[in-house]
Amino acid sequence: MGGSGRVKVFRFDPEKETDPRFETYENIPYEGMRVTDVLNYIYQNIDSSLAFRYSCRAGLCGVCILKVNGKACMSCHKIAEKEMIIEPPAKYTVIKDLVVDFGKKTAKEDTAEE
Amino acid sequence: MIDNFTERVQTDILVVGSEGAGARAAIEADANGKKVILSTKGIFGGSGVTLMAPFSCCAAFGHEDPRDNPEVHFEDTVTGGKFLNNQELVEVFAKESPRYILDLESYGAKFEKRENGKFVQAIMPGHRYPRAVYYNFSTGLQFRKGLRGEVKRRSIRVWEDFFVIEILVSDGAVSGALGLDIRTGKLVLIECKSVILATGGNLELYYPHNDGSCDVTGDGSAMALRAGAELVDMEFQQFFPTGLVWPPALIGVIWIGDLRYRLGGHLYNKWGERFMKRYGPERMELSTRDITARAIVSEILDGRGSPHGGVYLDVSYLGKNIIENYVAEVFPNFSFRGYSLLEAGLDIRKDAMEVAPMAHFTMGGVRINPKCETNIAGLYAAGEVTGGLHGANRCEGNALPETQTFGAIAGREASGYVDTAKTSKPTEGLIAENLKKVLDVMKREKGIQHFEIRKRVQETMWKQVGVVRTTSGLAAAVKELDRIKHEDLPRLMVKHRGHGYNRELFEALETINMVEVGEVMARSAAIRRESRGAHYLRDLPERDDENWLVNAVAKQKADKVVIRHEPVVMTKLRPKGGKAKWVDQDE
Repeated sequence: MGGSGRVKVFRFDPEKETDPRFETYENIPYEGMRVTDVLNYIYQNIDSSLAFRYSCRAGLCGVCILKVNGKACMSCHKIAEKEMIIEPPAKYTVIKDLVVDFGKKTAKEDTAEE
Repeated sequence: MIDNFTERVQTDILVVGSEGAGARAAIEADANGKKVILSTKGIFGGSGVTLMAPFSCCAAFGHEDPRDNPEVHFEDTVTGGKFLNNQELVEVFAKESPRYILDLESYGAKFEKRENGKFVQAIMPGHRYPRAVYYNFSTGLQFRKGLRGEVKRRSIRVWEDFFVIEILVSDGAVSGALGLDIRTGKLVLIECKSVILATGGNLELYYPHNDGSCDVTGDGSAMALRAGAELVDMEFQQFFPTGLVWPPALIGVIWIGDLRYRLGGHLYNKWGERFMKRYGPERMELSTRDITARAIVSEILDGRGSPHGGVYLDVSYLGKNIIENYVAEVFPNFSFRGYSLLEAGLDIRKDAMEVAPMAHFTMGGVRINPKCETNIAGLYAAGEVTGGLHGANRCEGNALPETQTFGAIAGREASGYVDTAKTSKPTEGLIAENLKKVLDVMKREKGIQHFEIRKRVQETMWKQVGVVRTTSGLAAAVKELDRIKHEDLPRLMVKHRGHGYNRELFEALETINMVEVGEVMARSAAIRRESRGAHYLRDLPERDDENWLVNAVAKQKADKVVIRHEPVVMTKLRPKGGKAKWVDQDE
């Protein structure tokens, strides 16, 4: 763990806010880390209200899908970068921040591995 | 914040945990015409550890070798469990597993088959004959596919993001459960006659040495204990011998274990010694998991480890083209399910990997009988959350069939119970008492956030209640966990007060479970004065069948947990007796 990155994170609490916003976190370690680790760093050290999902940490369950710098990925797979914009995956209703309602599908429902 | 229930829900059966065992239990309950809620604190088909299982699912079909049958599977399981298994459970398991794997296949799970329709069965360490059915290197995903498909076809009610906090017991029988709807922050009272626990094991107590998901925080065992159920064999925690400890982005990746199993990878210490010759000279790197794991940790403890706290796993002694051809077939582009070794700076054609054991399976858990009943009427448990089937060590490939066999039994037995049991509603007093415990945490203004407490538990468990244990280390762990329970937990506070998806709140509730389960694990380990299976005491390395063919049984009495020893349930197979060296002669 090291480095000093800048992370812009999509934040939205439908309970309190009418519109989503971005919050920027500075001086965040990112080297050799996955995006999940970076989110955990922010959640544990800076803002415990940050909502995000993860489970298997192994690229299998698919619940940690996100958009990083505009591209869809699993946050437990994605190697963190110095500058990141992190958003919830497209097409799903946001419950809070990066947590979405997958409805009847889960992220990897139709993957080839099954 | 949240002051009272905003929702009451009625059902016949509440299943806690939605994956291998839980989904199977719900299917069986539904097939028996019962109203069932299949709940998960995460996403259905995207939580727990079943879906992560890469390979083997052992069931004695005898397709590969006609000499195989449930009797032999029984013997292998008991021998592998070092004779601590509840043999009544093993009998049911060995006999019934093939049938329930066929059920799963009928739900849509695929397994490797031959042209004649027979299963391809692989031989696994600790099993006498080829017994493992599998699909590619993603058998767990086939479990998910089959179970999810069947749950959907049956339109079973699935409740995601629902954290069950407590089981409510009235007059010795289940009367309901208290839960948190994570999405809304509402506290929910479930009124039901039966609860089936299928929450999995306790691997997260060892993070970052955990190869499973972050979900397995011992919730089921902890809530069962608080409800008055018994936990058994809690001192036994299996470790997968080899997960990557370097580079950082690959920490916890265990698929490289395949390079040991199938490609004949060698383990070396920092002096380049193939140290397995001192621990398991016959099978070397293919020794059973417990022997390999403690060999690695012993090397690390003795200062012969690699720079990042592991030992070396090496395949580079093989010809470059052997590795490349193997990799091209099994892990194209040196990529393990999306993790590129090359991108991360690791070229296994030239470099050795740095590996250490990862918590892999929890043998101990809720004590059940062959009907999956606990000592509380209406409370059932199935899968890794239970203890007894695997004894002191689980054989490879015995976890997946366990979920199906005991999931189905729990669903069937709970259904039968619901038919005859009288309804007992939780009293307002009982509800208020359980509610208060949660609200105290939620409303506390000052104190410690759970992060710190959780980390202390994890460090204590890994260092002192891990692969290699010592008498003094266990005593220190018991003391520390007792201190955490009595000094830190009463100060546990949740800083973020929002309702919707409050991660800090449910992780705080998980942390309470981790502390309580960790304490029972440490105490059960501290009172077992021998080495057996996954419980290895460095200063007492002998197995002692004269004195220690007993199971530790933990039960909450008033404010404290009392642990007693009971003789093992043996129906068929007995060890020869006496003391044995810890390099096990039964293997």
